[in-house]
Amino acid sequence: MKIAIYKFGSCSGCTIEMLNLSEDLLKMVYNKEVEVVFSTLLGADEKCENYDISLIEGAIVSEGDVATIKDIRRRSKILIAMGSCAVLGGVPGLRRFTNEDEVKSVYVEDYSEHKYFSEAMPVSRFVKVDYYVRGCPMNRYELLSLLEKILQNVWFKQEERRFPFIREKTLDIEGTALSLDGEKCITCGRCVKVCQEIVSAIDYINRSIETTVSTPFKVKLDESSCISCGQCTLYCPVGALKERSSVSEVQRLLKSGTRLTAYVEPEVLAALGEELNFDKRISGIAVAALKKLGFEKVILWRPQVTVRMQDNLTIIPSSEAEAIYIQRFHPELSKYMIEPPKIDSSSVVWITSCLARKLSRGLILTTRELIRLLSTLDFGILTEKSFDEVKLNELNFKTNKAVGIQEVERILMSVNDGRLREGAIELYICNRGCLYGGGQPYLRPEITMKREGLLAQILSSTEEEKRGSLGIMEALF
Amino acid sequence: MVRVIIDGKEATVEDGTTVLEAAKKLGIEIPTLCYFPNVFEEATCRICVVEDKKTGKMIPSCAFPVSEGLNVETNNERVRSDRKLALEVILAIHKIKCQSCPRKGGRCELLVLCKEYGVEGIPVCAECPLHEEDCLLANGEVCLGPLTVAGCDGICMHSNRSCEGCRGPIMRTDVIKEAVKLYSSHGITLENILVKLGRYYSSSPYYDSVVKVIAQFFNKNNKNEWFDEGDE
Repeated sequence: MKIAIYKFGSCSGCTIEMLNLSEDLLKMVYNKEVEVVFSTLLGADEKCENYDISLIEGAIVSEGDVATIKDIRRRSKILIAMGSCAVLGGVPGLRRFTNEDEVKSVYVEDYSEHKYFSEAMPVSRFVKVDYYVRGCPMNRYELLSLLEKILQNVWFKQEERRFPFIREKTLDIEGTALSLDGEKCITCGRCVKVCQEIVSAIDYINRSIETTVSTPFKVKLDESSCISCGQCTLYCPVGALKERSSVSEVQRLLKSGTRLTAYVEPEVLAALGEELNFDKRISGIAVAALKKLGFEKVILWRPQVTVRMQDNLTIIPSSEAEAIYIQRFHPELSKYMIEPPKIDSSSVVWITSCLARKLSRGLILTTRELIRLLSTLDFGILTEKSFDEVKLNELNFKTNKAVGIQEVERILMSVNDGRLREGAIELYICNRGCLYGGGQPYLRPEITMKREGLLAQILSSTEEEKRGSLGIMEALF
Repeated sequence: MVRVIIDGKEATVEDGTTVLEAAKKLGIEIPTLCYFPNVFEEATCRICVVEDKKTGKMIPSCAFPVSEGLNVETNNERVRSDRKLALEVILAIHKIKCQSCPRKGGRCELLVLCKEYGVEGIPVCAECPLHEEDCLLANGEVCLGPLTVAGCDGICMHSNRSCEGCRGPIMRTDVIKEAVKLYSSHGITLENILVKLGRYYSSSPYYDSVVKVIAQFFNKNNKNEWFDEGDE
């Protein structure tokens, strides 16, 4: 594959950016996949009539350039415009706004000799361009992947074809914890399928181009059978179904210097470690990152519940979602149910894996929102810190745990039948429990899950820490 | 067990597996959007189409079961251009609101596919790591992100610099309209934008039309008359 690099009105920055590919480019040259036969910057000038690929850098600025570019087009199979100047006219194009006489007075004879245009023009104005690599300088990896595609013969010429936004009737469904943006929905149907297995709050309405996802009779999500578990938001590929964001509120509070305490659930850390690829070190890094953002204290905790043991049967909902589920679908059992966990304090930010907690008052951040909050931080400069406090008290009596909608339904039915009359029942409506709750990072088909292992590691390391500090105390006395 | 040929490679797979799964066993990756294993396998997006060499038909690989002697190609020119068309159709019913999207900052599956297939309709905002209060527009800076073609990974915003628009304008009126709405909500005027807009594409044939459309929308915004019909 013979490559020629031609430069017109430009700074050579794109060729240098291409050379920054270094090893990748050298590998291609050593494997005799490509061969640079012409480049003024590299000093390559082999006698060669036809090129396989011509990379054009820079805008067309004079009549001489026009003749050259037409000649190059005739001699090359594929012509790639590289960088902003070649694609759009770029920086040399700014001469459009200058006074021509002024320019002439600077360049004097040179100017008239080369027959410069009063405007600098993109390459596509004169010849057909097969592919554009945009940017100033262009992204070298974009060029590399393009060259690889050409070598494997799996590419096609860029055509200009644009569709406007064609949807006329769209529907927004609002809710307290989450909402559906009808304009963004691409009606793929993932959310409908996921919700059908839980409460069937949403389904398709209308036909053809007007197809939308909606609740029955377009009522608000809070008035439908939706329990705000948020499983649909995990699967929506375009972010049409999303949580009510508290990111800007927390950011504003942190900026104004309010003293905030972060209560972090271990499930959040496990998912965060998986998403950011930190593995075991995640607890330390997460604490350091939260402190860096301006949180005063960071506490690892699990929500605490108070159980009145005088009752024979107690149903413990792990969040608002289960509470609403029972009130709506099993109202006769609500007398056994205790209140879902809550924090009533304006200086506490509860970072949780559960989206339904957003139904309660107070500052609630989901794992996804935490990732957004952390997105501007440089994790490399952080030194690991430990939690200010660890509150992971387990319930001191035995409970029946029901995880997933089918199991929740089965256990509630057995309560209804009278087969189950005493003890405590913990309900987790999300499939696979809180580790895969509605506020966790988006699920992708290709990702391999290692949350379970991470969670176990995080819990065991905090246990060790506790024991370690106890050991020191014992030694002191 | 049935024998199939995928991209010239032969494989023996169990009856009832889909083309996508069979390709995965051979180490061939087929892009997907709506498909999610064990959750959603109904082929609504058509990104995963492959070409059946015998009949010349395009088949959705995530839902199509293999049959004896099936011969498909997963990455030829026809397949790629069909995938591009599918993407363009999806973008035509997906309103570009990247600034407020929870998937912005490199988590947009649509953007990854658009980059791969050269579809230009998503602005730099989709790759911007800054969120809500940190947005440069909220700080009063003129950022050309909402108007510029994505693909740079938001490299300038990673160091808190505003977008200069080096990748060129998005030529879609609805994107420009959303951008103008955003600018005017942050108190940025047409003059502010024009100072920056010409830096990289003042001589391209797009410049004049983009300026015209932006000015038109700013006019409408100043008079408070957003008529949804007739704009597009």
